[in-house]
Amino acid sequence: MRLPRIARRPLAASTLLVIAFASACEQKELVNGPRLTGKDTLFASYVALGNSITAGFQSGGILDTTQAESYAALFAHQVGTRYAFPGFRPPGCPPPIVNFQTGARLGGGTPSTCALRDPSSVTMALNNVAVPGAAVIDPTSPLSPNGNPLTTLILGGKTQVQRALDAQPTFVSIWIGNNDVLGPALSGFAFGTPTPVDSFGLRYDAMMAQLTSARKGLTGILFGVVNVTQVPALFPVDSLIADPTFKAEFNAAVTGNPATDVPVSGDCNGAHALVSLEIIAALQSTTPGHPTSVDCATQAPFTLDTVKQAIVSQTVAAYNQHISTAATSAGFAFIDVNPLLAQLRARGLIAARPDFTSATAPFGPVFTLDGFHPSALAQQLIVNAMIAAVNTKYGTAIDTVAHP
Amino acid sequence: MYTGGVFMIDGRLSSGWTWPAVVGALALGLVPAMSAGQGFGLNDVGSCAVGRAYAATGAPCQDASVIYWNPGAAPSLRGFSFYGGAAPIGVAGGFTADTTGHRYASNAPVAVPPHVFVNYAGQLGGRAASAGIGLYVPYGLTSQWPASFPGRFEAQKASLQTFYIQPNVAIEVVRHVLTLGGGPVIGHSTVELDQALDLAAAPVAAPGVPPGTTFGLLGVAPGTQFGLATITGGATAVGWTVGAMLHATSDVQIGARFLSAMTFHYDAGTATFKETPTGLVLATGNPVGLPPGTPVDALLAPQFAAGGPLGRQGARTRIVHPLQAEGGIGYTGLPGTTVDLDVAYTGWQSFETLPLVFTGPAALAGLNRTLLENYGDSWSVRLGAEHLFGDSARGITGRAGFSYATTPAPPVTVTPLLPDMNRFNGAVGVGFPLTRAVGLDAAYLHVFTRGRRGRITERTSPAQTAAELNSGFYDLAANVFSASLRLHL
Repeated sequence: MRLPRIARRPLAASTLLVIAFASACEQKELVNGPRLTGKDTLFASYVALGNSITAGFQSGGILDTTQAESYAALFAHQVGTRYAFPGFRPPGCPPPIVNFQTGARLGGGTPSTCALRDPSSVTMALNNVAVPGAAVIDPTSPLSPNGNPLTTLILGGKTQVQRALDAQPTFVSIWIGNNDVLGPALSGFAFGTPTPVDSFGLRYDAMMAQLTSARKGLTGILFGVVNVTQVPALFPVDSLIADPTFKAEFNAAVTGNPATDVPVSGDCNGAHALVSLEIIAALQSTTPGHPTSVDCATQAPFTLDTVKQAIVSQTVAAYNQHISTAATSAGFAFIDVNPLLAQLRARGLIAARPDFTSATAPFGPVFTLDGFHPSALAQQLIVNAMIAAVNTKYGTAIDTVAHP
Repeated sequence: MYTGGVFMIDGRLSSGWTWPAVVGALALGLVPAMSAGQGFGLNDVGSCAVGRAYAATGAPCQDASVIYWNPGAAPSLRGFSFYGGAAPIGVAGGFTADTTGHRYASNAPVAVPPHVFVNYAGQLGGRAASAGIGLYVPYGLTSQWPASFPGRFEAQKASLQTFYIQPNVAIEVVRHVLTLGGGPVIGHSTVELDQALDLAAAPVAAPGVPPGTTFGLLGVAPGTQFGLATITGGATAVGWTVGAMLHATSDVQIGARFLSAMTFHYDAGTATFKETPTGLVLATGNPVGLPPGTPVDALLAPQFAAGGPLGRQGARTRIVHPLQAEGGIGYTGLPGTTVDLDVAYTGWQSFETLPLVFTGPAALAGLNRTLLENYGDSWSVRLGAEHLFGDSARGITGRAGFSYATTPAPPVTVTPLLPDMNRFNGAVGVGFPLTRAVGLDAAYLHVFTRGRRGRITERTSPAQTAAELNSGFYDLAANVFSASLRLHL
């Protein structure tokens, strides 16, 4: 519509008035602009899947402070992306052990104590869906026998993959498979053997397929399985034979009296077997058929002779070959933490055998009081290795974490 | 359930509807709804006004919609006037979540608020006078979101449909200078709120579980839907309106109108609940102590049975429809041209809370809620103009306008129910004769916004702030097409 010339002036002035009013009123809205998340689209939504290590389990327990020390939390912080985890209120679920010698737990709790979730951690999208105790079958199965109260408390009836997809991830880290060998190893194959490699591969592939089919263009990193013969919860039986002082400390740990001898079978001489810490509770047990000595025969519980050690090592190697291939196939990064463990052991940061006289650091600074869960320091070392692998794979320049 | 603008509940009319209202709505075949004004206000009353971006009080349109825009100016019409039509409104909006960056587009249906006005103007005792009646939709709202929208627990669908019937009388108080008009307003309103039920917020009733434990504390993710609540109701309220038109000079006129606030009590509403399968099963070693594989849905089913907390029952709510005050100045000194600059005020501060009260077992289960709205008053500046091309009998009128409206919603109340924000309206329109007595007006108006941060979860305490609750960004745009038939005899 074209107005007569004289009419355009007041109209134009009035229009300016309206626009000026509108602009003035809009100023306050500028403070409410959209909030940016993540440093870039690669890490716009990060989700960690896995087991107790990823969840932040330490010293046989878990609570929000240990969860915040997980490598997953550290990674999210380094890349500047959202990180919501299923926090547990103190003293934990269960509370961590605070005294290696007495087994006392935080807040006087027991292994069955469980403070429920922190209400403030209840959120639609979790960035850490790892569940302590999970094996390779669990990320896709809601009803595996590995389930425990934490399975429900973290996942609420879903699987890890389903819960991960709730966050619509752009980047995932997956560290699963340790429990496929750890439990059998700590029991000396008494309560099962490692998951067969073929089954492991099928389950791993199913997990990857569910994730990558639901999220096209998904990126991530896959962790290899730890060779659990290297964790300090398994220590050389030779120490019990060759070092009377250590043997006396072991006797005290089992019986309460260093002079009360715990028999070590003669077949342990020269067997180079590993003894599981779990043998202490078994020796203390009054259950019929419980072990009464340290026995190194292949069929004996709570020890790993060289045959069983080889089975564990070969199985882990096969697992890791499969995971590495899966990473290549998916275009993900891959990291094998076993060289890092070997390096730390070589530097003396991982105790070759438990120090039964220490209440708070029996395995050195890298492992916590249960002998197989990493400490806060170890989580920092893990995330730095993870960051290096991610930087190499994706050409990023993520800063590593400073540590002592 | 939703049939042609009438809510049917089990084959019966919902209690809030009166037969005249039903007949009126059916006769029009149109559905009043949608928010394209401030808050849940609607200004789409007549195509002439839409074409001027709602600037129609200082210099009202020369049709019977003047009954709404300035009741005091109705005597300026001559003889019998009819003005009726509708304004289809399409809204494109969405919510982008901070956590995922995903945008959820709303799927609100196109709404068609109608308007019908009849007026007769003549002489009474030597003074210009008029009598008339109007039906229009000053308040309405339809917000609707997809089933995957994470904010569906706040509102999956919200529908408010209110029409006012306004008899009007007006008379010239000071000859050729001042006219006044006004009358009662009878309003009828229906409301529907569909809200997904979040399992994470539901209490767990199981042996050994501490009281107050919710499924969320047992790991169920917020946003796990286990049901859908639908609350419907209807109400009628009465108010009043007045208007004045002052002809300051032969070219300058000043107009004003006032529409009172009206409080609608939806006391005979109905709440129905439908279970939604979660597919969740309890894992091995679950803390509830039930066998692994136990379906969560089976545990919840008794809640939905008759007599259960989520069985069918009564519900009530209350919504204040705020007062409107508008004043403007019109200039007609240019040949064939009218320019109008209006300022409008809406008393949204009265929309403080939205109570949802159940009159059945849900109340005993503690499900009554009060949504905190805490709206503030809002302002709008409207500038419109029209020019007649050709003679008054056969000429075509072109219209254009621009207006700006501040939102009444505070930053903490930008929600799926109504993600309100400041709006810019740009409009164009045209009016042309069909016969000597009949004409057609058509208009298009586009609503521009800059988007606004908002929340998708309920604000349960006045202490909660926008910074704490807002978790994403709402965007909004709307298109309004309006067509009206104009008759002068």
